[in-house]
Amino acid sequence: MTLLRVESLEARHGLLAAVRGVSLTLDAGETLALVGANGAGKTTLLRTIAGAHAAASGRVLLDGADVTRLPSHRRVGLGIALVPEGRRLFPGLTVEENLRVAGTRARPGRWNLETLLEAFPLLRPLRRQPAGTLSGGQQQVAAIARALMSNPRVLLLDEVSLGLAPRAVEDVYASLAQVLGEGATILLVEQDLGRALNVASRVVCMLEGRTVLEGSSRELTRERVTEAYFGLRRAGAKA
Amino acid sequence: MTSGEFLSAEGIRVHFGALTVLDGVTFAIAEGEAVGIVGPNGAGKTTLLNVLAGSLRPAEGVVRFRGADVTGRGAATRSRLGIARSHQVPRPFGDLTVFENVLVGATAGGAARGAEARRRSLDVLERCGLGALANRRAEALGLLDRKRLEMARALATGPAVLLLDEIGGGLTDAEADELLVAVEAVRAQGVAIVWIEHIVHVLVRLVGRLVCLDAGSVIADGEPDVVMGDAAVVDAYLGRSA
Repeated sequence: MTLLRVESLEARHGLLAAVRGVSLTLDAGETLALVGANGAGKTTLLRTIAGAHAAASGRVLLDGADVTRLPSHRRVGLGIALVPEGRRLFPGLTVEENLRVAGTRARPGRWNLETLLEAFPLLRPLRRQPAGTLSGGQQQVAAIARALMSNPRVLLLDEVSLGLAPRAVEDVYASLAQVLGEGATILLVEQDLGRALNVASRVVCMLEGRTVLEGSSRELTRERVTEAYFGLRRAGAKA
Repeated sequence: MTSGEFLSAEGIRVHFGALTVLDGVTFAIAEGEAVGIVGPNGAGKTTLLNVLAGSLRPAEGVVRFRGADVTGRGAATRSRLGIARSHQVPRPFGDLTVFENVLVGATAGGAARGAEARRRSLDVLERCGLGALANRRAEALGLLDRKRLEMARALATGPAVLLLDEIGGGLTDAEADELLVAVEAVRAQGVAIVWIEHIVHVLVRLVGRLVCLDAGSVIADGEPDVVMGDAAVVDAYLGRSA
């Protein structure tokens, strides 16, 4: 069953067309990874789906309902949650307060403060600590937990390993495995192709605001993704 | 010709607080050469361009231009010596016309005056495909024309080297083709080009050599096909292969 449908979505930053007619679907329980070079439009696409960035045209449909013009807090209430690049926790609030704030728009579901502290045990001893004092990896896990507080139907994850030490990345992905095990529906941006192919069942590659390659993680080779990532086949075709 | 004789950077180190952004980078180009610089986000590409342009002084290392040590010279002096650069985000003087914006570049540091400055500005506008827009206010320009203007302002200083910082981003395929024509015209006049660009398939149509930076170090330097096929380069962008 298609849970999230993006149709011919366009998004701009002033004069710059960052997302140019992107269409994709996400089935319930599926994990889809978005890869692409810096500036390919991945973050803008995620933010536009979440309502943090306005769509210039096109549609975002959640379970068939058009949410394109809804503000982000309404989308959270309907089940779209974003873990933004850079985590963006409230640094002066404790971990628990960060989670409670996110719970104000919560849908009914299995996630609440207690179940999240159970699922992410590294957060329990940190719950009364200001989020700004946590390490990057701890903050990332807290940011994922915060997004889950709303019991989303679709979880959007933007570069959860960005700027983290390798060990911290392992911790974050170990936490994510917990979420994936719950049958969550996830759209994630990930720079590390090997990791993307491991955690996602499908991969979409973006180049200059468009999707240029899509396939199942089993079928896609590193060579094919690399070619699409750099757009080198198109360059060869023009030569 | 040894490429180091024209514009070179040797052993460049730059730190931003505890973070080492350039870690002993050595890089040189020959007169009239077109070189592309690629690398993942945070590799140090723009920082290297800033060091070459004189807007950032390295903690260690030497920048030489035409044999002279210019490490201590600022951007204005280097511009007069013949090193010009464009910026990632074009910021023209919005309420000046396109011609006036270019005239600012032509007269910067006393490079040209009066009729000579006007002649040079008009010439640069034509070369950059902006001739028909000379009297338009810069703030009314679209993205492609802003990028052309950014390049035109740099060219108006009469450089021997043009440093381009991601001028291809956000353009349609047709616009990127038009921009390439303009850059190619600049190179055809003997101006050396150092071009940072994320859009690799556009870059490789112009440059004969690519340098890849990762985490502040040069990890590949050579012909574009060879560099883009280098496993270390692919790993730098896409993570290590299993």
